[in-house]
Amino acid sequence: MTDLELSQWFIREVFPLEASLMQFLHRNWRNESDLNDLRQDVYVRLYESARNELPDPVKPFLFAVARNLIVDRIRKTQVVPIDAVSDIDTLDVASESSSPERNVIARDELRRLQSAIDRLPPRCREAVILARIECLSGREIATRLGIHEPAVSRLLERGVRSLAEMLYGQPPDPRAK
Amino acid sequence: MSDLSVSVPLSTDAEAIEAQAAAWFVRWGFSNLSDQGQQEFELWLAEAPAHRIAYWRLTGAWAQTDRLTALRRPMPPISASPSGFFRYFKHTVAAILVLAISAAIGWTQLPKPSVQIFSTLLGGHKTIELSDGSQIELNTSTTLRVSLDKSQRSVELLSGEAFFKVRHDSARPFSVLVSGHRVMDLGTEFLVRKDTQRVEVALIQGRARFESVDASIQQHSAVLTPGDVVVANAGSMTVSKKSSAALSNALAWRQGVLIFHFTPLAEAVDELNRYNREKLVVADTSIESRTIYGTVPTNGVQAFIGVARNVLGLRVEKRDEEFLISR
Repeated sequence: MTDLELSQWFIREVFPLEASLMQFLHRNWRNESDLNDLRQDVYVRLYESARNELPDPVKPFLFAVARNLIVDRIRKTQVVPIDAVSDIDTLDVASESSSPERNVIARDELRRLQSAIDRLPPRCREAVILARIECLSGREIATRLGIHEPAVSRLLERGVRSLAEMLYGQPPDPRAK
Repeated sequence: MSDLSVSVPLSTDAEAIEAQAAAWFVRWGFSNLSDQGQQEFELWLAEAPAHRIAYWRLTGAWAQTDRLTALRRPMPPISASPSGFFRYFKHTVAAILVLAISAAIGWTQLPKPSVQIFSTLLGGHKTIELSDGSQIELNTSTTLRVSLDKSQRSVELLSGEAFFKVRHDSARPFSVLVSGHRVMDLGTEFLVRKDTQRVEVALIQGRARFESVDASIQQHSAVLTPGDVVVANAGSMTVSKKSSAALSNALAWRQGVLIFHFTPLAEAVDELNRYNREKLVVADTSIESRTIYGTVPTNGVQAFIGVARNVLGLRVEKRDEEFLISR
């Protein structure tokens, strides 16, 4: 697999599973501040093995990787509190195999997207909308918002990160309009 | 929390990598990257799989916003024009990589001719004329999608508020979708507003049917006649009659003003805040229900502050971008 193919595979098949993955990691690893690092390590492991062959189906494989990673981490530590691993051996990956997030209809996706954009901090949202809807350049956005270009960059950086977090990392909010 | 994870040094710092990925994403996409910068970017990508994955992840998320926006206008052509997000492509491996990704996920997709997205920013106001002769007026922070074909005309209000003046055509019904509800035109002028929790539809002229179309919300339906105002959320719907004066107040934004008619202060402030970056905050619950009366331009934050100070005798203090109103 080339990186080009892998990038498309990640975007199409892997990132949409991120909300489930994060729930899984959250249930099995108690220190929240590690979760993004764990997620990254899961992705890197998945990447390494997908380079040889794309796992199909992706989901059980992804969760197996996540599970192994957690088990490894626990082994490396000297002290393991019992309740830290409460359900590591009873991880019900099978129940994760249906993927509601893949079945949502387009309207719900649109709603979710809208709600993600609505939840951006106001300045950040304006910068994202100007960049995305109005297709303005950094300089043009800076003029429009009355701030300097580097500040626009910060807003857009924050915007794209928040969008990734909300669109991939968080479960769909059923009340999102 | 757990003492388990504290002792595990993680090999890489996802937070830092994501921040770098975001910085490259923005630099690459939207400012002129020098050849040297371009090389640095490629080196960074090549350095570790984690870098590439973090970058792809942001690219994928950003591309999703296309669904809201790409339909609005054709993507700008790929040219040497230095302005514009992702208009600027360089002949490098990284550029080709991103190009290929964008092709795969639809950045370069051209809109279907019959579907358009229109939007206004904070404080914006815009009137659009549809090819069928109907008019839509968008209020502040509004996004809607219009889809016209031979057998139907359909608009989805994604956010904000809009006034519809529909040219009736029984062969081509006109419908407005909003938060799982639908307004079906029977020859009408009406106003639709979408807030986070609720939908409000006011019928000015003619007749329209209001109904829920989403199975997950309470089913209801009503035929509206002039003066009817429907307020609906996922669980309920109420219809009330408003005087034509009250309705014209609700439509005053079309003339660029807000009309307050013994409106509680908290409500008036919320209304004005919809249009302006500088926000007013009622910082004292005891004055929330004080009513105010008068006409203020939609951008009249300073005028409003003047009224609060001089007419209502309230204190207004500026803190950051907010104005706190208290006794």
